[in-house]
Amino acid sequence: MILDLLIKDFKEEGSESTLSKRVIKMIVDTIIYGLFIALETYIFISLDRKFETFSSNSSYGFLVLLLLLILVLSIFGSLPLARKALYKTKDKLLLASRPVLKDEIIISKYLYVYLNTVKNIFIFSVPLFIGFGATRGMMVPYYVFSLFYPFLIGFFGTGITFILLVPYQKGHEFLKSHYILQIIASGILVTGICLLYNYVLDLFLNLVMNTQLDQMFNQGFISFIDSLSRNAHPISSLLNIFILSDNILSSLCIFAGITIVSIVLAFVILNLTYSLYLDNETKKSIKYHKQYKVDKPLMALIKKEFILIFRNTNFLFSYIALIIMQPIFATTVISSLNSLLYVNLGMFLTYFPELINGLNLTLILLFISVIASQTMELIKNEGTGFINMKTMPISYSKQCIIKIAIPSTVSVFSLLVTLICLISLNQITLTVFFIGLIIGMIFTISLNISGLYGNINILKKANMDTKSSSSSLISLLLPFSLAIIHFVMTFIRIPSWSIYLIEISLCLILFLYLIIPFKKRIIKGFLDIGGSLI
Amino acid sequence: MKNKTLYILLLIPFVIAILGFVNIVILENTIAVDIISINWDYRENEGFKIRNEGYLLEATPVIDDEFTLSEGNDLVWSIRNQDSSSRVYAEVKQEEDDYYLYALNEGDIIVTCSNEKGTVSKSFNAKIYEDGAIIINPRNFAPTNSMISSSRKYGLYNLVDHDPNNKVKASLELDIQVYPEDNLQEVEVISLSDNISYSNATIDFVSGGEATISLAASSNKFIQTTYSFDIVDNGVNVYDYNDLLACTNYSSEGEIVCLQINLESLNNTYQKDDNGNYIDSYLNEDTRLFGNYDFSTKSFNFKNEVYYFETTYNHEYIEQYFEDDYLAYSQVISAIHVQKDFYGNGFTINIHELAYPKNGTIDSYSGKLKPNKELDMFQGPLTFVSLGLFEEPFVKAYGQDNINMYVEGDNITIDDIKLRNTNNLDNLFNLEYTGSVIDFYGSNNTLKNSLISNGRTGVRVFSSNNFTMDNCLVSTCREFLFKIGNNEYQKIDPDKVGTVTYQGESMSFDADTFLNSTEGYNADLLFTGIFDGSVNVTQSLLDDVQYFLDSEVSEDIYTNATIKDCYFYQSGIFSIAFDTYFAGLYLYNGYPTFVRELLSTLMDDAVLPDDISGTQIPVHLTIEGDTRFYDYKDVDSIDASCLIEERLGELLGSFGDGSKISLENYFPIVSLLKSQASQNGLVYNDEGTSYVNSAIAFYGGGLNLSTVDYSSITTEAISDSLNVDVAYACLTGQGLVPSSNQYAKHLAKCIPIAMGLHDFKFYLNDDTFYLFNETPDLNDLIIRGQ
Repeated sequence: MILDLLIKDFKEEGSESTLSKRVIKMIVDTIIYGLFIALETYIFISLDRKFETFSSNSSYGFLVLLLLLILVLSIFGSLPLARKALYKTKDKLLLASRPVLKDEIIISKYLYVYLNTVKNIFIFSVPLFIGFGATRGMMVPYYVFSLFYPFLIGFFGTGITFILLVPYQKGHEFLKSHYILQIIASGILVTGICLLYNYVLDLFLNLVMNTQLDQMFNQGFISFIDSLSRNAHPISSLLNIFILSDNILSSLCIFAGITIVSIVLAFVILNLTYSLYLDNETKKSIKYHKQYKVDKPLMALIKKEFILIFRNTNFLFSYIALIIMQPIFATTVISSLNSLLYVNLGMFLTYFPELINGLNLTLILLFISVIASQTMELIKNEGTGFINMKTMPISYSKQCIIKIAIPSTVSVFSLLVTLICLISLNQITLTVFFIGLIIGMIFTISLNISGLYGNINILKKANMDTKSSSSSLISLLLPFSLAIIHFVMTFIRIPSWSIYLIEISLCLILFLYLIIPFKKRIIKGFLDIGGSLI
Repeated sequence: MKNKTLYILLLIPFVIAILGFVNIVILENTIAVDIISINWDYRENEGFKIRNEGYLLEATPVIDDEFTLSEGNDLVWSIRNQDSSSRVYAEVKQEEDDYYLYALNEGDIIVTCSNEKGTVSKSFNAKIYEDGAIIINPRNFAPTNSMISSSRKYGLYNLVDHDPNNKVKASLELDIQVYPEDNLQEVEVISLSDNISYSNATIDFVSGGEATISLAASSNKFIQTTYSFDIVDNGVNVYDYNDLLACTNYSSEGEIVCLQINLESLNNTYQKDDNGNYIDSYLNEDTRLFGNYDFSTKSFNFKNEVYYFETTYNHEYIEQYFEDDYLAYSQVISAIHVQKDFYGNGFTINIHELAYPKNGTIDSYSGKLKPNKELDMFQGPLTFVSLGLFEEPFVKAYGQDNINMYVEGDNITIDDIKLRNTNNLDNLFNLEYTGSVIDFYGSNNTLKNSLISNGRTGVRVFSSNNFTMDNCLVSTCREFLFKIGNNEYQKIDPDKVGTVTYQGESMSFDADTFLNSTEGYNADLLFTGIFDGSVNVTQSLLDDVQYFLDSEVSEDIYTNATIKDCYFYQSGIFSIAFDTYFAGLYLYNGYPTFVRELLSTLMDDAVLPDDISGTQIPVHLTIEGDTRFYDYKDVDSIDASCLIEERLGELLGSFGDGSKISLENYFPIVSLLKSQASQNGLVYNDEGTSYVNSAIAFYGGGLNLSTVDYSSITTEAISDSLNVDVAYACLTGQGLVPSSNQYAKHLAKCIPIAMGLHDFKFYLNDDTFYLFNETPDLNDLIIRGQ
């Protein structure tokens, strides 16, 4: 039964309906993970060499630091997963009427989180172990240990996850009912992510260029690393046993003790919280809303769209976060790429300066496509409110125009901020600024229209869990097509104004292709969709 | 897909950076690294009483931790007599790892500590005494223990507050030690030269000339000593960097400089704290920083301190390219501008903080350390001529480089100075952008008793008639150790008549018609035919064509120079180079047509050269005395890429079949040299490596009328000249190092069109391979200089 429950939880994780889409997702995931691991290993080995010049203990401490970081990230990364696994309303309803013991459910939940934790730690820590061992000529037992390390440390990680789950769930519930605090929390998180990305990218580029890395390696930092290697239990104790072979008995006792305590605590907490969850009726707090004033239909629709976007918790950490992060990420990526390309391809860029403009435009459009893709389920987001869309005395096309206009406006605003940041840092030319704005606007609106069409098509087939593939295609195809056109025309020395004109024309053609049958498609689509989306 | 796109976007900079990084091949030309210097507590003069027990000699080597020392850097001690007698005053004996001085008989000796190789050395004078001695040392001047010349030179004046308009006469405070010490004794002046006065152990300078003071112990007049030194009339003592600036760059006519301190890099001047930051505490009292360093901002002020001047080398192309704005692109930077005599007293000037590309990165195409355009001042040599955009040319031939010491004027002597542009390093390619070490411009100038090292070019002598280099060691340079030529040249005579014979038909032209015409048979047609393979290239045809591009130069205007008793060691290319201007058809009028067409496809408004070159006024160089070339190198390590900067390979190498093009694929000078040297038995093979002693090179391309006379060299053995016909190899494709890229052969044909068609000429060692695997011994220079 425990195994069945586990399989159920894993199956619910996947969301692609067809085999081909699952395969594509797996391939893309593999590529991304592979690239990330390669990057991580490269940074590790390069920094490891640096640490090695100070002392071999420092380089060992550096390994411990990275393993600790991976453990912490996996713990926090598992929190949403654990919350979702434990506090699933669907699960509660499904299992309540089945002969499943509470203990079996708890064990399966624990194992589910444990296996995910092990998976995450395995992917990121094993390459580090291999890199560390390969540069030091470690023997086979070391590599065997490195394969078992995630399983051993996973118990501790899972235990901490469940310990932290209680305050996390409390915090989640609290934020859910306090929208302003949600925004502040997401803002802080988003800013933190941007700063971290900036820092890591800077560090990496310095490594590669090898100019300013020495400033990092001062004595204070090295001392910190050294003390960490001794005190970061249970990682230190585990590594003491299998790598340093130092104080084996005491390290074993420490590790075993910590692990057992964390397992016991995890089960106790799981038991308590799951019991509380089962027993307590979730009383929905009935908030007495203030009296809304009656608005004109247009204004009411606009307000509704804003509420759907900005008061949607799901959107907060995806769409809204990206809107905020886009200027920072786009500026960081484009400015670092520009620097890299000028260093590596200076000659080309001097004789073909339009190349860098083409690349910058492509990247800007790709960022737009990422953001716009977050709002491609405009109809689905209505939920039960869709019946109102069908029945209210406002034309479907008018409703859809407003539905597209709001996210488009927000996205274009973010694009404008991005372009202003880029031009103020001299990363793009004035021409690229204006062309980027024009093409970006057309592209954003086109993507939202295409997303709307896709959404309608999917809903017509009552297939709720599929994502629109045509809009995904456009979101990638157009930027790359424009890039190819730009690069080819630059090489054959077409004047730049001609290139931009062609690009704008292509975007307009796409837009016209989508907008001309708009009314017809919307009306037909709405009529074909059922009354409820649940 | 949506979040995956974001992740990929965020990963792109990392991936590009990795790809860019892994494709970089860092060029290395590894050279031996020696100790930086020797530290000890000895003063200029010491005394040792005769006794049975030896005196332990103590010194420590100063090592740069960044590099691995080559063999032969253990410290050894030696002595020699100050006089020429063969009497044994003392002995040095090695007992295990220590050296002991045994004082045997009264007399004056010189005690020297050096590395085993002899490339780094330090000495002090020692008096061996029986009953007593008076030892005199300067107190208010830093000790110098590395002099090559015989006596220390003090300037008559000191500056007040670094102001060249505010001088006071200098004085020398003496540290007088009377032995035996337990008899604290007064000294009396026995004699005093007219140009000094003395009181209370201080010598006041009155006028220039040799100064002598003789002192005797009051209680025992037989204990005497004579202290001699030179006072340089109108000389100014330089105690730090700002004094140096006041006497040189900030002075309109210059001052005679008597250097009394080492001016070094940060690493060799200041101590560091625990975080590795420099602190305002000196490592040694005889060393100050070259530069004004702000500890808080970690920056220098060189931009406002160096000397800028318009290049004296041919810069007609720059003027044509930029017209009225040409000055900004023809400025040379010199760290020090010398207009009068300069006495180094064995001290060092190291301009590492100015010249070395500290903020540079490895160029992904060339694999060399390239300076940062904003943060580093030395950006490499100016342009003589280029093809393409001025800022990013496809091909560029070099003009004058930035300089450490620029000597401008006549009758100037540079004596006993150690000049270097960087700290020690182990890769010659890192000197690519560090400039020339010393550059002379003027007549009757002399460089003597000096050590010149660590630059792109060591000694550069242009338009300097009657130049003499005497008793110097020039070493460790990326390009040439000694480069000589003239800025002046004779332009092409458009009325010169010549004959071109092709396919049995002889045609007569004047130069203007043949070179400029686009009708009938002309140079453009000929070279276009060579390029597309329709014209059969023969040596006689090339000689006919080059005749129009050559000019005659009267022997009356040749300049002369002499190198005597000098050592050359560790060059990147050759020890001595005779420059000449490239003088191909392209430099005359921008032809042939296919070059113009290529440029117009890549650039708008391409600027073509218009009669910018000619035949350089030749130099006659005499090499005499005990001049030696310790310049053996692996012939494959000779890299000619610093003669011509090319990025054609970068631009076109990705077309064709995508393979990279290297310089040897279209400018095969090294491979041709190796082949010729092997045929003549001038290559020394050792453990699979082929060595040549790269002594003298004559630039080719344009006509090079310079001559060298080495018949008076006492010990060196130099081969006959080897003529290397690069132009013929390029135009016919024979002798090119094969490349799979189809564009390589086309590029090769373009080179002689710009460069000219004359051979390069080289002189190597002869087949005795004299001095193979040996290093120059500084003691030789010191003994000669005394």
